[in-house]
Amino acid sequence: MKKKAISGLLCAALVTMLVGCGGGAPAANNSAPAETETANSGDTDTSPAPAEEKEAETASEASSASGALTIWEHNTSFEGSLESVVEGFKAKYPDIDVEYEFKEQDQYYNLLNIAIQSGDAPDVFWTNGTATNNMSELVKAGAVLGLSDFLDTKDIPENCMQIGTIDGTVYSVPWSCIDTRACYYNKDIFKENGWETPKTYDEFVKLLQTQKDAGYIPISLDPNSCWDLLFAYEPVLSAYDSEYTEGLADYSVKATDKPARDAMNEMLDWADKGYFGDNYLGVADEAAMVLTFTSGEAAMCLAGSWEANTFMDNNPNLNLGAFQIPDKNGKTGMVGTNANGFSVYSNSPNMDAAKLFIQYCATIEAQQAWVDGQGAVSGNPNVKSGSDIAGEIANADTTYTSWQSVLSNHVKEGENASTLFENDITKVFSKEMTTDEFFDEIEAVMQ
Amino acid sequence: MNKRRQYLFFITPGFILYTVFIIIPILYVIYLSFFEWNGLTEMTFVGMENFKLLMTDNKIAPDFWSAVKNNLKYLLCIWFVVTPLQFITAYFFYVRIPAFKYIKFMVFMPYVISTTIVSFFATIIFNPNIGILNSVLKALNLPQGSWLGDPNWTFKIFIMIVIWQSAGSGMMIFYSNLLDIPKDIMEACSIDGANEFQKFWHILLPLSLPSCASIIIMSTIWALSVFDLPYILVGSTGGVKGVLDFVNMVFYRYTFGSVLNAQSNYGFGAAISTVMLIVIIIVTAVQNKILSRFEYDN
Amino acid sequence: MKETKTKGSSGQIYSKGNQVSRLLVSAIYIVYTMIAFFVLGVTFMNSLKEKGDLATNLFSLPKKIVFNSYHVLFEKNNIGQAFINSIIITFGGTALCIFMAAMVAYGISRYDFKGRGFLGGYFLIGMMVPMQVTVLPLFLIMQKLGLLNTRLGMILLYGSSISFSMYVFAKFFRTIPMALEEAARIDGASDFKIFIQIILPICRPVIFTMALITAVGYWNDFYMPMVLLSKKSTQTLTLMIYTYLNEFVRKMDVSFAAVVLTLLPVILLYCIFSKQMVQGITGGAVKE
Repeated sequence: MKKKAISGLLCAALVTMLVGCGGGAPAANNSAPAETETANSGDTDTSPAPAEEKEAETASEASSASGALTIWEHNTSFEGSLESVVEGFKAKYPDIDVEYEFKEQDQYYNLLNIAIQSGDAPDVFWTNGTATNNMSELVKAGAVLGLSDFLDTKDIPENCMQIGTIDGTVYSVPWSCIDTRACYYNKDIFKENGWETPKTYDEFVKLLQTQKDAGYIPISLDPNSCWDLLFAYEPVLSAYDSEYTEGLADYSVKATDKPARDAMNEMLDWADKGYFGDNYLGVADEAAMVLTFTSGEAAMCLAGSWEANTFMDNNPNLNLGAFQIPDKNGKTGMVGTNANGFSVYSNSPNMDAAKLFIQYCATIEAQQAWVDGQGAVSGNPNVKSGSDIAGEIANADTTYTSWQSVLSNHVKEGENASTLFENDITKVFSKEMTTDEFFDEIEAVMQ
Repeated sequence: MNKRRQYLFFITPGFILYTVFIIIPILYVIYLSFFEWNGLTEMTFVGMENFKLLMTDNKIAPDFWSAVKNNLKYLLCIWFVVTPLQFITAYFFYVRIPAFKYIKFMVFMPYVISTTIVSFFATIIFNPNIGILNSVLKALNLPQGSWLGDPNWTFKIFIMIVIWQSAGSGMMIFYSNLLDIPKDIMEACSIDGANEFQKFWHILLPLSLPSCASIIIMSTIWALSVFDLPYILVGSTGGVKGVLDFVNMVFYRYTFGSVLNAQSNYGFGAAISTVMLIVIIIVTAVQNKILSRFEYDN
Repeated sequence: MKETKTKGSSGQIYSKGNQVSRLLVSAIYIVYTMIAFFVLGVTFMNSLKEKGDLATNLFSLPKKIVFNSYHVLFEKNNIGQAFINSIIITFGGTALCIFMAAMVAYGISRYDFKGRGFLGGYFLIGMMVPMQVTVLPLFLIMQKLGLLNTRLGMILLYGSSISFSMYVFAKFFRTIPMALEEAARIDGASDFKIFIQIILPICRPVIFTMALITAVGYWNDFYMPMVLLSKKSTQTLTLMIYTYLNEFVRKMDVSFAAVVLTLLPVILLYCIFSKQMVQGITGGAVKE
């Protein structure tokens, strides 16, 4: 009995302590501003587009806009970027309440669809634009607001806008980042051993053997995720046969032609030679791949441009460098895709605030904040790349179309090549499938 | 009359709550399995089409059946490895091996650690490049392995992690059931000169069969619906050679796809879970029949 | 008195000849328990390391002890609010679940009525379907009931997953002799009073075990909160640290600290309750 009382007291003490710590966290004040906003909407509704133009001078007028916004993002790794964009927005419109929610990534579209179906969707939400068919489906369902009428996109280059445009109408504001892939290397290891970054493809292959002989794992690779394999395969492909890779842009070559197969076989050959580590099949996930590189076990790592931040976050002491693997003549290029941003829900009860937010997203200021938050490679002449390493990554002679994007853009109607790639590329590396079986299966569903 | 009211009184509140939050969603999923639906546009009624696809498609069916096989393999492991281990451990606690209080405390402890953290540790320990296991083997000059990347090891490692993380709850239930066995029976046996093994085999084991039955039924259901641990350990494709590919992971793959290329077909996913639900109900029912015979024999 | 009796009986049950093998078995288990120490120790140690140190030395002692990770957690997050949310949801959900489960189990195992077998099976179905399968309909239901982003919604949801506990309770109730209640009934006690005053106290050990198992599951759950509780003000602790776990490699140092912070209360409670559990269990056994 006594013991019970004591533990009860302990619990109580713990709770009071925590309440004290928690401080005054007023939980619910979301509903009130929403109401003021609807009351307000009548007078601001009439002049959204001009207000944006003048907004720099007439800050007082713009900042009187109020309301509450809910934003949905699909991945917490964008928190930093979104936070600074929202901060910048709030500095201009202090009376608009912005709340952002990160949804479980795998469930993102399901939750979004269901929220839209039930009529209670977020005012502003992310989609992957034209890279997947989610946005076009949402557009068909009438859930996405067309932005062309009031949005000024002069600050965002045409090629970036593509991902947010369907049939000439803008449905989302893309971010000016280019998602690309790079060959990262550990500068300290290179220095200690007197290695130079390779100038040609042959030098690169030779370097792999040299590194192996020196006792390092040349490339840290995760063979258990289709995406990590893709981000390694694409740069190898572009260096292995740059002419072929250039042809992917206008689909003058097929995604399953011989060079694509040979490049895959080349990687399998590297695997047999131990260039990914002798037991690399046991590298279970991306985290394991990153740690193999940041801990100094591996000299290099082939990965997406957004991983630069991951490496630095994981080990700030890492002396990180990056280059694009050159082709046999020394030409370098990067495989890039654009990144999409936010769209506006067509039935948003906070339409004015949502429009102001999306207009803010299209400004250089917001674009820069987003790119900085990601440490990303900029795809916009007016926006600086987010970090030094991004500059190194972008140091390339040309840009290539992503092999994977060809799969989704040139597939036969009603077929899905991307799913085949997602399911089976890992099987090629675990040798359940041969390279030819893999490519033949994709070839069958391609145009 | 009064009696009848009484049982309603006990069951109704739980029944309502349970029906609203557990059963209705399940019924909804079953309903969906007859439709083709991406979650947004109109649902199209396709009848048994989803099931036909699942059973006969030359791409999906092998995936599905291999996953079913893995579920059954896991189930056998639960029955013949994990459950006996749980019982024997509970027995050791019951006979109070030295330091049993400490051991009991520690053996159950991993249960409080979330699966995410356990899996993270597993991938770090078994990582072939930076993992501690290979470092130790290297230092001892022994051959190193790729562990979770080696189809011969993956399943074994998975079972070991399952035992380490979650066998504790079953042990506790076995143990508290053993303690319910009247002491005088045990004392009488000792006076009759029965040895340890005889007592274990002729008294403790048969007397714990009822609790055994419930634990086996529980773990069977869990084994057939396993998802979290393999998903985090080897990703949604089920690892090298699909050794850890279970039905719920197939469901997950086909229903949600990946966020980069979402092609959701919720109807088809629903069909997978419906089939699994039927399998589980059949297995559980059969098991219940067999196990209840045991129960009444004693 | 109690003490001597338990000791005495165990002395009678086991012969001395087995002492060596008993020690051996113990030794094996003790080695086995080291894994837990290792894992927990490494977690704690890593939460005190600097980032660069952590990346290169996952398994060794910290070069320099820093509390930066904890600092980040407390500075950047409203960890107090999340803690309270977690406690409310876990305790509320567990209490509701256990009480409902015991009631239903009692109703099913103690009364004879038509459809009883069916109901028993009906209440088991909940265990057969993992949450991932039913998450979308659940989201809809929660939204329609206005329970989205509320703690009450989570408590009701957790309180409704009674299958497992119900099953264990039903098994347990069957071992309690009917005579116990009949005596009370003759004294004129109502069925509910019998349930509360006689039955529940007897199942104290089962209640403790089940409550512990259930509560731990709810405390550690991030999947349902992720889907149903995404407003910052209702976030649970696990959900909050999940944002770190989600990017384990990027925020490794803070992740380890976050893990320590979530584990701490659970282990603390486990320490407190496990003592009571053992007492409850052995106490119940001696009384017989």
